[in-house]
Amino acid sequence: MSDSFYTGGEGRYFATDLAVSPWNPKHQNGVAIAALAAHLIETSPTLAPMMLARMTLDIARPTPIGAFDAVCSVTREGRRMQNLDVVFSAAGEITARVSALRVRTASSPVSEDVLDYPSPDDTPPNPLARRDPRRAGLETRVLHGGLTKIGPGSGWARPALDILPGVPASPLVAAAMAADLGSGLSSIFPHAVWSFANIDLAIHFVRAPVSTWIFVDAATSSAGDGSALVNTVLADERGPFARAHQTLFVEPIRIASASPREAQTA
Amino acid sequence: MSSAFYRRIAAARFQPLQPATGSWNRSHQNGVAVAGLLAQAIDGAPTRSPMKVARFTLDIMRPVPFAPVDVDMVPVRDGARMQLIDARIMADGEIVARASAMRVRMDSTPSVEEAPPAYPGPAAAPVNPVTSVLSTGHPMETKVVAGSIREPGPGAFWATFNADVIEGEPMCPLARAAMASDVGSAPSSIVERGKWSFANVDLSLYLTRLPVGPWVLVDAVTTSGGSGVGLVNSTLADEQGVFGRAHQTLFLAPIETAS
Repeated sequence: MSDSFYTGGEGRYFATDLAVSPWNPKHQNGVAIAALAAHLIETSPTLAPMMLARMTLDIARPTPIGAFDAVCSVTREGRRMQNLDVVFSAAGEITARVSALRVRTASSPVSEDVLDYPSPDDTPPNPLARRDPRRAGLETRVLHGGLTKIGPGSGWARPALDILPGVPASPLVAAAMAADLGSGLSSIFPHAVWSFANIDLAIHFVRAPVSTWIFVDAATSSAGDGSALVNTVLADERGPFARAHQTLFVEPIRIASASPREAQTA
Repeated sequence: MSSAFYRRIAAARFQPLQPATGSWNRSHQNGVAVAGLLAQAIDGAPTRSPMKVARFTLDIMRPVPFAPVDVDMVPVRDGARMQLIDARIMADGEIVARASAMRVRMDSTPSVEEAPPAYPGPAAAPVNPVTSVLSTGHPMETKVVAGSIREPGPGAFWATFNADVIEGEPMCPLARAAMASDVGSAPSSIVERGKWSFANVDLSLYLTRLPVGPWVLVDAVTTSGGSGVGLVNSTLADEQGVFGRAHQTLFLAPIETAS
């Protein structure tokens, strides 16, 4: 049995150290938060067959490793559309808030995005980060770009952990996790000089993904005034199925232990 | 014709005026007006340090009645580095529309901008409205530079506004971007006109900066996986270049024809 990001249920959860953020070991990774939010949405009932059309995750504060609450509630019920919120909180404060829109499914004309990319089998293993994929939450195969290359990037990602004990990541959960890789794949910042954590993650779906292997094709841009925007296309083995965006909070990396002279040359 | 979409009748209470009338149902407000009102409300909410809106997400949960509405602001997180704030339209004590905005403190950081779109600017573009109702003098003026509402396929248009959102209060750049974006579905339809309806049920904007100047370009492509749901993907630009993206979820349904 795989290890999981979380244990718990019914609104009360515990983040294991597999959910740790690369930016701060006391905080949860956005990949894990997105995974749990997608799982709670997906397992929440609807009045008619529906698909998730949009999921918008806002990080208000870091969510701590350890105990926290995550509650999914319907803000507007309906047979044609449903709005949901998932609220994460710890120590009485909201740490993350997801707003989601689900829409009834029906038959309609197809008009899909086109994207040219190799299958996961034709993409050599090439991890995004040197960490063990179990600690990163995802197994990754970078096709181009990455943390040390400035410019657009792409690659395949697949969950390496369960969400909860005995609950593997579904294709929808895998998509939410993979979407969070857009910023790392497409960095425009000199490595180890700038910090660019994402403070939100939004995914717009045209259909549900059909596999847990998710292709991420991302590009970052910025007007140079303190934030950056990642624009991402998500695809599976059938083709593109979603667009995703992240707002990045951009600031210099503080090297706390360096002398002022070392900090200048870092 | 009124030169505004709304009149402020109390600190947070607004009377819709003629330009806010729904296109499909005159007892409702239209989405462009609602987007503008909530964008103006967010723009007017104070922040603890100078900030700009990086993301704006609008859900219209119920038709907004063509009647006075209250707007209330709920800060979810009001920090010095970022602010997450909701603006809600209430009608009969129920939330009928909610916009949430992520605002980020401004600082000097590396810039990498996208290439500008290859369309003529608004001055060079011929007068070619998106629809017959959006002609010169109407509160929203448009010039199509690619595609049309009469044919399926992508479309692009410049939009400017000849009216305040709130009477007597200048239109803020966020409202200009949101209101123009809300029309993205019109010229980028993928379905046969008259056979399918495609109401947009939400609006999301992702911005590297706010637009500068009176004109906004919306370059829209609609896609669908065939599940009764469409997605409009728009690139937003002003006369200086690209400043963001917008998306709308579309409810695709066959139009029932009378027998």
